[in-house]
Amino acid sequence: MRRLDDEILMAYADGALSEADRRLVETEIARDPQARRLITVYRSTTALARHAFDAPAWSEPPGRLVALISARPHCSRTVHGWPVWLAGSYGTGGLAALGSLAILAVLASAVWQLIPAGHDAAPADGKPAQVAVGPVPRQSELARVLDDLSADASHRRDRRFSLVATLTDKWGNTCKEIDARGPSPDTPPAFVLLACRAGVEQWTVVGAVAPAVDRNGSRRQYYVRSEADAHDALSGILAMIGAKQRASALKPETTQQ
Amino acid sequence: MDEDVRQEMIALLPRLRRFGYSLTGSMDEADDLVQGACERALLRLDQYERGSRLDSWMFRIMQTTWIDRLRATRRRGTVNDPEMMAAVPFDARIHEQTEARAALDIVRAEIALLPEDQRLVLALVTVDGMSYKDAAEVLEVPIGTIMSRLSRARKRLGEALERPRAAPARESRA
Repeated sequence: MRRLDDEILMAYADGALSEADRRLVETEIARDPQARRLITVYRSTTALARHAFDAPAWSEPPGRLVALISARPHCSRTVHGWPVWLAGSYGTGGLAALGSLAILAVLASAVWQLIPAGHDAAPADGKPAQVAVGPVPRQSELARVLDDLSADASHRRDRRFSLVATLTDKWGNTCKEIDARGPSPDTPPAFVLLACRAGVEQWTVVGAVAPAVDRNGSRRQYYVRSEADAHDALSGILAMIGAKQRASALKPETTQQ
Repeated sequence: MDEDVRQEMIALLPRLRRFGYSLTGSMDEADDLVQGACERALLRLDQYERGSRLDSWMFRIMQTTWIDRLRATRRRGTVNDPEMMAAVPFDARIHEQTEARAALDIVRAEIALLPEDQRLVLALVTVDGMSYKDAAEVLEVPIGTIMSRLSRARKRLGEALERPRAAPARESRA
């Protein structure tokens, strides 16, 4: 008697053989108890393996996945007025999803309009630049602030940067939350931002909150309603990126709960 | 056109999540894996060939994302997700409830111990129900390779299920 290959028996058990092959196998296995036993093993493992990973929950995908896929690149008007933080990976392994990039572009645009030029991310050549959500140019002033800022406030030109907290997100990336104020510590922050990086990779600004600017260019109110609201919003988004550890809280007046 | 692809991608989520669960052994990790794969897919949407099978493309991205993560973390499958295990429906036709759960535990544990290539094939064909041919397309290997890996994986599972095990401890009542 010809011994059938295990793979052929498996294909028979899976119903993957042609009619002619199926008949041939049936003839053979009628005389081969070992083959019949193996077919039973193949069938039972199929049922069990399928059953082991089956659950009603699969039919209800998490909203974050649906939102990620549904996000459109040109939906800037839908996120006006609120700080938007990216819940995604950055650094090595891909900056973010297209959906996140859509949000990123929106926020970059918003922050671009709200932060006065000439202060915050000025490149080494001194040309005016602005804070934007996304990768931080390596030679920029903001990159140096993020690299160097620790316990002490850092003064750059007429801006005073403070480290609010050092965090670790759910992917293990190091993140820093900083605020930037005018020369006096009593002034409200010009903006608060969160930037993350993987290892020694480039920093990526993943979100920011800025005060609103009226038509005359003066700041009248926060982009969110108040500083407290801003920090509440930041806390919510920190939770979204799984930033659980707060290694420092250096500025009580701006630190979140 | 993009909108159609996105809708199709959303419709694939249940399959992708179950596939992710069979690879990672954890519901949370499965969703993280699906999210990572979707991010990649969306960033490369222009590379998707319209008219081709989106599920094959997405499963391939899931597979590469998982392999990348494995390489990055040097981490194998994790323990079963208790929440998920509790959600596994009872099927009285297979076993009595306790025995069925025990058997499913063994299956999940053994699958987590399979070599990566066998686990992938098992997840695609046995768990997802893909044909050998489709699985070969996703993994970009010949059908014969799919069949031999799958056969080995299932025989190993069968042996594990037949292995004698200690009876579970029972609470004694005075």
